[in-house]
Amino acid sequence: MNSLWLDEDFLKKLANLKFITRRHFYGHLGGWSSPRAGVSLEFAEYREYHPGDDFRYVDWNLYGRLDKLFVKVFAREEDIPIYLLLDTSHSMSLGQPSKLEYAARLAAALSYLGIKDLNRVGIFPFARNLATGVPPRGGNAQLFAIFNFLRAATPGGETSLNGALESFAQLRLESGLAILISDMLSEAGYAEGLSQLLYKGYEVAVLQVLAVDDWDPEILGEARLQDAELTGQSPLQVSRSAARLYQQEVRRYVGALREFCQSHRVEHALVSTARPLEQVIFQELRGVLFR
Amino acid sequence: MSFLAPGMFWLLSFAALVIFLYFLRRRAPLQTVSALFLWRASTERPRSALSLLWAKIGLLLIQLLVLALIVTGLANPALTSVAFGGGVIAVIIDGSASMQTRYDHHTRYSEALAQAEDYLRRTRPAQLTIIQAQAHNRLLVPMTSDITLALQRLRESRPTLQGDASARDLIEILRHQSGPQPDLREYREIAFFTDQMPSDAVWGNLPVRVIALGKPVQNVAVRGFALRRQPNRDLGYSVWTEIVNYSEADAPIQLEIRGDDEPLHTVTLALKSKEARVYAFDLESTERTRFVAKATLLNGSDAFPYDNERYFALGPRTVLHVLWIGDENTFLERALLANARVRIAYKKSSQGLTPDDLSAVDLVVANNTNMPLVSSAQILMFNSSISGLFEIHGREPAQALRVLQSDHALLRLIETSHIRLTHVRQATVAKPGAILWASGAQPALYALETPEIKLIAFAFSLQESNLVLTVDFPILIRNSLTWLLPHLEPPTPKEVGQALPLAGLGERFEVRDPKGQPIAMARAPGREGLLQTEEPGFYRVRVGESARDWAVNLAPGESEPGTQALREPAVGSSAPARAPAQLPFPLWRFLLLAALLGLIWELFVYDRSLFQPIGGKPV
Repeated sequence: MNSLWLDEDFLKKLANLKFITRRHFYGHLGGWSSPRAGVSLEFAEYREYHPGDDFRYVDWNLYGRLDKLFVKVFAREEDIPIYLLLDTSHSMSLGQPSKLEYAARLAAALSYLGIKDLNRVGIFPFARNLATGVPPRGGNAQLFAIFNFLRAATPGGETSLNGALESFAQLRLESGLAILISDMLSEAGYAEGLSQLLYKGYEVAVLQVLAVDDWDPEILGEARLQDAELTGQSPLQVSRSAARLYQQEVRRYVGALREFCQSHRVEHALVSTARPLEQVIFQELRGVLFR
Repeated sequence: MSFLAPGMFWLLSFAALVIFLYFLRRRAPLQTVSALFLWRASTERPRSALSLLWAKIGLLLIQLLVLALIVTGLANPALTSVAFGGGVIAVIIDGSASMQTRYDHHTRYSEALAQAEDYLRRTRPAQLTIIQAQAHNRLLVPMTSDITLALQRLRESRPTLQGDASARDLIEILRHQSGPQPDLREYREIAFFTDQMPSDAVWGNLPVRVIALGKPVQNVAVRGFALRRQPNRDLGYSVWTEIVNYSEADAPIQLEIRGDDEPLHTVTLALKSKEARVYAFDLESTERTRFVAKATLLNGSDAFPYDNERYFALGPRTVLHVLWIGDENTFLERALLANARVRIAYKKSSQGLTPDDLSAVDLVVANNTNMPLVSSAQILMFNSSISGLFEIHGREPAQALRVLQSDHALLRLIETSHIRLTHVRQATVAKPGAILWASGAQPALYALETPEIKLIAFAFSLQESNLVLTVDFPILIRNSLTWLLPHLEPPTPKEVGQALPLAGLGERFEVRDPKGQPIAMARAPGREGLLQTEEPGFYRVRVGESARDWAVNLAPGESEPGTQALREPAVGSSAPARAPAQLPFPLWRFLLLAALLGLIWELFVYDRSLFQPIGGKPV
């Protein structure tokens, strides 16, 4: 593991990828074309001259032919704010590798992609509440700051997706691409939080990271189950046969999440920690988050 | 059903391990999951750890059942009686005195009868024989196929007051009952209903099943009682008694000594549970011959009262007339006086000795002299000859004494190594006698017994030996008197069932039982001269004017009913209960198969899902 925490060959491959967004965002000058007129070299359109326009942009050739004043409008290139919402609750500590470790590496890769394209990227860890992460900025220094933060991330606390997402939505941030990296396993649900983000104008993508044990638990004989986040609760007694019912329940839960995302134009991708990160990014997330 | 390897039942102690492992396993492992709420639809309701332990107690029961089946299978059971009728069965009912122990509404013997009856109804033998076992066994039912008749005879039987049977005698009876060609292997089972195994219980490979009877009861007993006249005082007795409290509780006991039906001594003793106490004391002489020691329980009733009295008879004090021929010897004279009331007539030599002289005395003592051959006499000789029987010649230096017959009555309690000789006489002995001591090739002590003559000859001079100075000398003289004049000895106490020797009393004698009733003597072939005793007490034998009492007591082993039941058999004997050599139906295979099925059942109960597919992965 190098100082960038990701392998260099992998980073070189990432250079070929670019985020896909459905919408245009108004940001700072950057690498993304903006609907706002700007000062770039890329011609956008003509429009009629209005008093006050800069005479330097009047197309005099067109005035000679049409006897009307038109000014040239150029496209403005702006960045996209990318907010990586990383679930650091205790349930993310499970799995081999742990879901948090996998999610952190995924977040690192996304950060690199974002900053490479001159975007601002910020990390917002959360469990029950939003925690202090790395504020969105651009530049290589930001990349190192993000990597350092992700490397030091430790699981803890109980998941409250709704609470954390609502807290995030209440932050006065520019709208942008909000990528939620979480196992999305919260008994209180996720709908309200995601709706708040959409309402605030964010384009939302959900990367649901699940460990193998989350959908194929290895229960040998009878077992007492304890929630990773609710250690104070009495354990539940299950038999081996209960695993089958659990799998149905997980399938139903994931299906409901996918259905919600589709209906609200939220990108959803199910990520297994059992699959290599490179394969996930270049195969499963291509066309969803990247092109 | 019997077991060929009952020792395997110790494996049942593994039940503790099974129980331990069960509770250990019931503590299901704790697993951490990401979202417990997704499990709730498929879990059991939350329960406490304790309730989980007891939730599947049936599982434990199955495991214990499996263990029991395995252990029983290893014990190699065989169905020999209950399920299959037929075969030859022998029933032995203990009829000894301890079987008369009383319970609330019945006796131990009646309990044995009920169990034997039930046993015969269940086993349904083709043929059976029933023996009542005691000192003198009784064949209640010879080999028969008529169970009804056998049961009737069984019910009519009564216990005796005799001691325990001998296993050897029982086997002999069984052998004779098994058919014209005696073969004990024909017996399918020999059921022995007893509260105490015979001390010589060596059953070999016989299919003996012991049905144990008896339970602890309240009982005190006089286990030992003896009197001895004081040797150095003309009057007075030393009395020795042993009293035992066999009860589970402490007991105050009144001990009473009676002589010729008159109370002589009474004392109250407090005995702890299971305590045996010896009570010895001196009694003033009142010149009595029939003594009784009686123990009375002061705080309740005795379940076995037959051992509360014990009897002892002393022979009448008689005067021993001795004819002393030859040199006098003070040590020898004192030794004679210490052992009996003696009147001695001295004679310097045997010259002029007439048959009348000999017939008038009980004993002839010869010291340093020669005697002619006599027709009948009891003779004790030191350094003397008697023609034709024991003749001494020259002297020669003595060597260490060698004992040639250590078990002879004359040498009882004698330590020969104490005795030193300087010289021994060369002697010629008659062949029928026995040489007891030898010095080199020379006989040093010789004993001869013929119908007319009893002779004890020491082939050395008392002056050339330290014999008179040893502690063995008075004992040797007493042994000599006892051997030469057995009628002077007090009657040997007998146990109930033992016979009284009546040989030599002629045709005109009378025997009275302990109740004073005359006994009609049956002249059974081969049993002449013997009278079998049936109850404890004094049997009086009267011949003309003289009378002699025999004390008859209960066998001491009978005094411990219920507590000595089925004690370990003698070394080298077989176990009390053995299965027959030929087993009709060995069951171990079925039991082990059942255990295997039980294990599968246990596995199924433990986790039913083993038999159900899990299904594919959801994602």
